[in-house]
Amino acid sequence: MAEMENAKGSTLRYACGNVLSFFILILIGVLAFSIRLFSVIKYESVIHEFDPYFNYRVTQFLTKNGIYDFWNWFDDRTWYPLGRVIGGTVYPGLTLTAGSLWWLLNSLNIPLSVETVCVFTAPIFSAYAAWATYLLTKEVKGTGAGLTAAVLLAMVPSYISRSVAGSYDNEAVAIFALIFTFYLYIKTLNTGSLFYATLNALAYFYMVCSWGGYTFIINLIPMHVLLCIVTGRYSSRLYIAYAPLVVLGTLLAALVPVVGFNAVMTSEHFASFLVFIILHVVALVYYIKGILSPKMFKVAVTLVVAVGVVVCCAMMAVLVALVASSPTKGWSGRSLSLLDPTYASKYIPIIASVSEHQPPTWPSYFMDINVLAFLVPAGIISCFLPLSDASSFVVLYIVTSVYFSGVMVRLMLVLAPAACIMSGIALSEAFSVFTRSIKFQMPKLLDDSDPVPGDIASANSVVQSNQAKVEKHSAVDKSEGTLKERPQKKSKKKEKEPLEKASIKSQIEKKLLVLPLESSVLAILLLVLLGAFYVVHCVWAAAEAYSAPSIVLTSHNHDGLHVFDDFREAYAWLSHNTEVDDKVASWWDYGYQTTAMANRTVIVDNNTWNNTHIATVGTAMSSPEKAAWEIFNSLDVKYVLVVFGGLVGYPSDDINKFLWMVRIGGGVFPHIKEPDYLRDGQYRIDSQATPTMLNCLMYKLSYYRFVETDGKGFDRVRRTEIGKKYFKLSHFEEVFTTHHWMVRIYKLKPPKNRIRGKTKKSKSSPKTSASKKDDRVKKNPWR
Amino acid sequence: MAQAPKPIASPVPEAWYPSMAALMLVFGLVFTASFFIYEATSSRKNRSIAKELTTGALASVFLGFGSLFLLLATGVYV
Amino acid sequence: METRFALFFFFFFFLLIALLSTPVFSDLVITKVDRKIDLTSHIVRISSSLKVENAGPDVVSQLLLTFPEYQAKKLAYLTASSAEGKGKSKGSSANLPVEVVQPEGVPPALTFYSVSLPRGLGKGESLNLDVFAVLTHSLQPFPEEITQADVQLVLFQDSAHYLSPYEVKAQVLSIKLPSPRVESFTKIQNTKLVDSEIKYGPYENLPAFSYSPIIVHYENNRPFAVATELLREIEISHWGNVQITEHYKLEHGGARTKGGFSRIDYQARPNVRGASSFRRLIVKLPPRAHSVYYRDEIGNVSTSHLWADSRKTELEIEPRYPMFGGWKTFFTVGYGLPLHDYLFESDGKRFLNVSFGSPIAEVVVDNLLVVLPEGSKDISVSVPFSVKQWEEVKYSHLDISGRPVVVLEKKNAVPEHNSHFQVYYKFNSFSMLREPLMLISGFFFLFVSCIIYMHADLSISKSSASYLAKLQWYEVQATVQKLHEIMVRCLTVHDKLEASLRDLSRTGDVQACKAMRKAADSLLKDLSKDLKPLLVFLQSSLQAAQIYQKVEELVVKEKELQEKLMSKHTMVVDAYEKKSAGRELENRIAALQQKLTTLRQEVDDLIDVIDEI
Repeated sequence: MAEMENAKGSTLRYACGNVLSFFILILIGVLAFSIRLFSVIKYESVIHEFDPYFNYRVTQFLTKNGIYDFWNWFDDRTWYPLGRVIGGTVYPGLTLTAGSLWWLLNSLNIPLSVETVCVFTAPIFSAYAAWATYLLTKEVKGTGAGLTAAVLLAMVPSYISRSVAGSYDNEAVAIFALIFTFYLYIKTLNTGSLFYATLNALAYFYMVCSWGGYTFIINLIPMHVLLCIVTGRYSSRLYIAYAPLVVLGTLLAALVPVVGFNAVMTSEHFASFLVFIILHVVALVYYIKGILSPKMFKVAVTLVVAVGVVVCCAMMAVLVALVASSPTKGWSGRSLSLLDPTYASKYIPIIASVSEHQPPTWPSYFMDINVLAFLVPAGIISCFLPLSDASSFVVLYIVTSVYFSGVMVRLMLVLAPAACIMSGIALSEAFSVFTRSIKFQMPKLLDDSDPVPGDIASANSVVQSNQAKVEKHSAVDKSEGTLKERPQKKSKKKEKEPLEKASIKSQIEKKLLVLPLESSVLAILLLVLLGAFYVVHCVWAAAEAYSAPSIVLTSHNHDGLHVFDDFREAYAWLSHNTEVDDKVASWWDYGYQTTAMANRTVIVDNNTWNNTHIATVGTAMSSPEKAAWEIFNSLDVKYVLVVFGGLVGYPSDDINKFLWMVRIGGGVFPHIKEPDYLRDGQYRIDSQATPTMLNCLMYKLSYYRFVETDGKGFDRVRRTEIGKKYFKLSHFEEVFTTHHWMVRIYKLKPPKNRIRGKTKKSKSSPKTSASKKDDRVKKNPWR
Repeated sequence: MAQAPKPIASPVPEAWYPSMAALMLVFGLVFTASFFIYEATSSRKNRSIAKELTTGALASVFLGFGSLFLLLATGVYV
Repeated sequence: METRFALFFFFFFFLLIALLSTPVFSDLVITKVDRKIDLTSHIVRISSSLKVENAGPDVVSQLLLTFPEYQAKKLAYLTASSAEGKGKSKGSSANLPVEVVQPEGVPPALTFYSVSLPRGLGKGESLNLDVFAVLTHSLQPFPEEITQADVQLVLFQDSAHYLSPYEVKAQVLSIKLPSPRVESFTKIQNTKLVDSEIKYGPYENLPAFSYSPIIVHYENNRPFAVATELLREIEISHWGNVQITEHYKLEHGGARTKGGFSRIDYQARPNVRGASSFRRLIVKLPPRAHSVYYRDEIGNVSTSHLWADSRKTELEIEPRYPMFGGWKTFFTVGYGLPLHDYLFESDGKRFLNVSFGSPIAEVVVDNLLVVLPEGSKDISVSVPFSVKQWEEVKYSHLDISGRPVVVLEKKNAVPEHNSHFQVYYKFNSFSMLREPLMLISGFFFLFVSCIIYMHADLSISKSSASYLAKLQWYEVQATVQKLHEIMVRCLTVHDKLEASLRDLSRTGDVQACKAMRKAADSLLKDLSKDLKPLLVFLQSSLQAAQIYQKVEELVVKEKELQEKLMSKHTMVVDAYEKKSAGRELENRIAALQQKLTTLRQEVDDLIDVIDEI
């Protein structure tokens, strides 16, 4: 009877396998979504960090005013008095995605706030990214590898760090778009279907909308095409995969305002056009080769080569001229710093000052991709057995992304999907080898013990029971429900895959690959253990390392959890107790948050598009009080906000960032010199500090009346007593300090308090006051 | 006010919501699975629309109530 | 400021003159007035107990209460109750109807409220009356701007004499202050300050409309929490929840802060350097409140504490920053309440019974929304005081037609307004199924679209070669599937035969075995008949050329297997019948068995291969 069931089961097996992998995919999606909810559970449903606040604000604007106003939005609440054309300078993909998601939900009468939608956009899209990874890997190496890669991607820490709930940043959707574009490219390459080629261009368009990292795609795909041509893998499928992408993709990319003509004018895109031309030449050659006799072909080749060389030279000359005519050789600063890792630190302090633009350290590799780092080489090897168009693409992908991640820690994010795909392939291949050898040895073992003869089909059930055993082993760690599925689906797959290609002779082949039973069981156990380790690490990373929203800080002490909610305290105070049109000056890090949370106009923000403006603020912060007052007053600033961690030991405060202010300020206004702030090359704020340091505005605003807290003025971040303890502010007045002193807000004293007796005059004649203002402006260091 | 107003409570005790949600969703998913297996195994020729519709309807009823109870259990009172 | 005081006095002097000339309204005489003014919080509560006597000949059923305009504008709440009988216990239940009237010939600086007496007062009859009035915003901070370190001083003005259109025989006034620290107060005859209470009177035999302005300037550091706007939203779900969401726009209504706020001063001595500020507010929630949250537009406010016992739930909330004079903040408090405590049914109508005002003690301008479930009809509201009221529609989770909303608006509400109100509506229990039906139809739509996709033929060109080939391929697939089924059934028959042999060896029942054999024979014949057209089709089909080889092989192998099995069966049965268990026979059977096993394996493999197609 078992036999019959088995025979019948085999009809269903395929369908069951599909439905099972469908459910597994859904579970992977749920896993990807829910592992990112630690931040909501441990903290709250809130937007994280800095850039997400800007995106949130833009989304709010979009949902309130509609798409047309969004494109034309000139934001006068930032970069005062310059303002910023938001519609033309943001990558709109993320905002449009969340905005339309919100619109859809609300039109279905599901009343979620914009904030909620924004908070959960990233987890939703990481589920999509996991599914896209499945599709991509499936195209490369089959379903089993696809599922494994999807599970790995669903919880790879590097991606979690950018896509926890609340981390509403471009990367959240861009990684999905990246993988999906690659999938469609591979799919087109495998099928040669124009339908997928068009979809590919659309996916590329979405990627261009979402993230500046789209240049990675438009350089990687040409590289792969070139590789295929060079290795003699040219086919019409390759042509269909590439040519429409370049034409349609470039046209679509030019539609995005922030890219615009950059899509054809900057060097980042030239590679794709060059390969486009090469591809056509090759296609022509193949075509001519097809219609001509070999002899004629040789003649044609000489002819074409002669003409081709001339044309190429002309093209090159034009290209070189184009490139040379632009100041940065046609490359944007960030791209240049990719090619030359030392570029940024040499020329652009504002890029170098961002920690995520630094090269990563080895521990950060382990932290971010964990065991995948060890599995990647195995994956590369199995990609070469056999090498197909698709597998050569993923090999190229991993190689380039490893290089980029080595340049900038932020690009670890691009490496993560590649590492997941490779490790997925490696793991799935390994499982397939081991379970196969177990499967072929199990019947023999059973035959010895079981007297019933000739039940081959029983082998099947035996394998299944064996699977169950393996599953039981794998269930060592209860927390990893997903891990339990992995061997299951692998073996499921194993049953299927060999049979798929199957024939009887393949069984003989398979027998040759059989490993000893004990060693394969052991190896499976070890692999499961490795997976368990990965899962534990990922859950830890998601729960502990990457879940903090950074606007709320917590610390554990003996009497439980202590919450530091100072940032929002300050922003809430600003938003409710100052005038709507007041301008707030702070270092650019807090610009986005101030506009989004406090709804006040800021001078500079995290979109560092105008270096001079930032340098002005930096100069003001590093000037003595009077000069700073003049700079700020000329900028119409009413409040100055500084972040100070000295009381509670919050290390990333303004004093620690101060040297960057000096550097950036000094880069534009040479009277600010970095050595003035350093004593023997050392940055210090204690009694050894230079007088310039002790008299600058930042020092004064940070430490004003600080000494009264403990009588000594002990700074817990710098672990020292401050240098100048008792001083008064003459041009600024403290208006608010948060509970833990982390944010201090000062108001510029009005000029009439300063210039006694002249107030009446200036009031009575506006003309004189204007002229006085002009004088002041002239004294400004940045004029 | 009329005599003896009677308090109104939910038709299903609130304590049952989580288990109801789990039960219904499991049933719903089983039916969904059988629906898709049927879709995948039967060829276009020998597929019966009645069977598809009944399985689909059963699955959607269970999934619908399951998700309703899930919403209620999580505190979204519709 | 001095000039302002002078102006006040001047104004009241005029007022007095004006009033004295107004006609006497009726022959009522107030024989005794006992007024108590409570100034301890920022809400002024005046409770006066009157003893009224009818001195005239006519029966009087109306009593007029008088307030100067500056008080009338800030009057939030006014009740009069007759304290008839002995005990005071009756007082609250017998609230008398009060309405604004404007008799002829009185200056507009006075506002009159007419109280309908429970019964007409005949000649010489008397009545005890308790009047309770609540004033808001009538404590004027002076100085208007203070620094962080200053205490908050406020002014309160009233008349030392009871302002009334009737003659007042005897009266006393006592003003209760939060602390004995009084800056100044108007001293007229019979004034004394005892502890934290100022006593005026007794004064006797004053004519109607006598007015003697007094001003008290004293220290009041109680929280001047004013909700400039409060929106309470009550949403009923018949699935077991009443959700209440309250949006507060809160302001410190006291003296404005001047100069900056210094955290170090505040932290060092919060009671001295921040005396006028307040940090925390207590929200008294109903018992069994659950899922309480406290947030503002930028997220959760982490400073709150919740205590709950069976009788009440108390939430201590702390705004993000200490509230100083003039500072504002905004926050939202939300909680759920069990349905059965608040929703009742009577006479086929359902009604909600919740309290009106805010659970925080302060002055509010109130805007109350009651969201009823989808499908409610015939809505009516009963509120114990006058409110502005209209209806709206709100769309919430899984709605189609939207939920009816009753909006009640009340300006200047005080804690005394915190009484229960009822919203009556009709509701059909089946309407509860609307939301699940939405969900179900959503899922069903998904399945139906899946079915449609599977059934629909989406190819554009119906005559292209590839399309035709595909159609043919489907046919081939179907045929192969059928063939596969037949093969599986054949194998099942084989298994049955094997089983019958085993049975034979166990029971020795030859007849059963033979019957089995017969049945199997006919079955196999039928199957092979069915098989034929399929094979013919496969042979003819171009698409199946590859498969056909395999199929043919399978059919041949199966035939062989069948024959072998039959011969084995015959042999064994024969052996049983003849009872000859020769070794030779056994050997032959064993040989056959071996062949059978290999054949069977091959057939199984082939079936698997075909199955994969």
